[in-house]
Amino acid sequence: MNRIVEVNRLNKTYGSDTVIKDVSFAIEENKIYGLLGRNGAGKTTIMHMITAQLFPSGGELKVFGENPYENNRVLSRISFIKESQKYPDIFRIADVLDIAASLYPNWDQSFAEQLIEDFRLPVKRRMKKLSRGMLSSVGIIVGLASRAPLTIFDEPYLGLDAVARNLFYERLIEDYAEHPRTVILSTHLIDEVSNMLEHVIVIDNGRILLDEEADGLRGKAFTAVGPAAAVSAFAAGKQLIHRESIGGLASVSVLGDVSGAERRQAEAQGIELVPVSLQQLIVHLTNGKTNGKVAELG
Amino acid sequence: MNRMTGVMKIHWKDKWNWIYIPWIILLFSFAVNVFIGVLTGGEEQINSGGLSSIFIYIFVCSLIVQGQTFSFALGLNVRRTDYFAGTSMMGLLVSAASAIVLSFFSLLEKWSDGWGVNLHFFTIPFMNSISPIGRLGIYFVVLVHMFFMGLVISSIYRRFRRTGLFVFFTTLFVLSSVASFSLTYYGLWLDVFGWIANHYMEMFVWMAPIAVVYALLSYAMIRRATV
Repeated sequence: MNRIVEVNRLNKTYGSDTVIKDVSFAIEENKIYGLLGRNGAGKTTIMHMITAQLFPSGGELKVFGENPYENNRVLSRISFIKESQKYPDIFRIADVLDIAASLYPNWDQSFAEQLIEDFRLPVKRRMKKLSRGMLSSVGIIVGLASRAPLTIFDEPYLGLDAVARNLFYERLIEDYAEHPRTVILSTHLIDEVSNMLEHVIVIDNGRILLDEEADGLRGKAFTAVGPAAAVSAFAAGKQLIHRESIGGLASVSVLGDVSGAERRQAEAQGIELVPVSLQQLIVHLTNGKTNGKVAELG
Repeated sequence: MNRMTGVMKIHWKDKWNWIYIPWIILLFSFAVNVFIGVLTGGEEQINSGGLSSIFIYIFVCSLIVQGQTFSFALGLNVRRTDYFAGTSMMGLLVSAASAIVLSFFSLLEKWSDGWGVNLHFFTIPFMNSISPIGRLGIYFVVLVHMFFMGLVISSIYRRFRRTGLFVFFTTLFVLSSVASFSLTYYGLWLDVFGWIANHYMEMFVWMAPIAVVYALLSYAMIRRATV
């Protein structure tokens, strides 16, 4: 597999504030990555450094095998859509798309036009006058129609309704199937995208918490629901990430696989076993209680 | 497509700022002066200062433009070098076009003997002795100088943000106060004005290398600027 992005012990500090701390990971070609984490975890900072819009304070960063800073061979192959993108006051939607068309080598005009129709955008309206959702739609259209070998979406759905979000996911998957590329998706709506993601990187407090194949993660944790006593016995010796009880019932989430024999035994005791969703798993991992225990997950 | 021309295309979308507004101001001022000329029946010679508006506006334009387009261009993965090159090229082209149009008007002004009403709007008195090509050169070099002066100031903000501008303007204020005080103290103001009156052509010539210095400083700062 070709490595599109290689990050090695990357650091970013503002004065005495460390925002990114010794982060290392690699992004492989033609996969969909989820970069997940809480607000302020450092996701956007990392993506800004990958696109050379911010400068790392230390560490090594390679995109398409080269340093991205002032490097057109690298930059012309990246499309980075972010929620905080600024537009010139005078620009209309049509102007933004026109400029995007001339800057992205793989731009597909007919695809862009089809997306404008799908998202029902008024192309003659000024960017300043757009609603939050429309502004997000413009970003999504630029990100999809640019067909850049490395496409990065940083919380692209802000203000979008469920219909439009679904449209985005559908178009992304369809177009990804026809024109494979590397996609990095940073989002809070983990459940909505979890089926799309092939690889998940979780970042918390400027550190990598998790870097794994999504398939592997789906079987990583289980929730056992049943009579409190039976559940306690089942959980004994396992690594708990969450516990709740209501009356005589208890629910525990544990890390690690459950063997067939264990499963049958648990079921005989009236315990129901369900896999923990990606979103729940990440909430557990990043809510501050379980920090530091994650190393055992891998 | 060349990415520098992409940047120029971004600027070209904002024709109001680059072209329409400065020319509307200039031509409006011109119209008012012609009107006054008609009222006075051309008996008084009018030396209007209205021409200066276009030089001031190109300075304002380059101050505004960077704040409007830099983050957008970088967001579309344009190199800082291409951003600088495209923006500078746009400034040079607009200056050149404006200088040509101004020269054309100044010729008309001469042929029509002050638009028939003894109005000197596009030429300043000392320019009468300068050839049309020389006038074109003066318009161009002043426009370019003003453009890069705006660019270097907005680049200070891009690179060093508010602190940078604060330090810059404080230093500028202190230095000019000291200079002004010393000139008064040593009674040198008249000498300065005298020198300027005798050397204004040299001042125009010097604007060219100074503009180059502004451009180099802008580039150095833009290279290290973040969104």
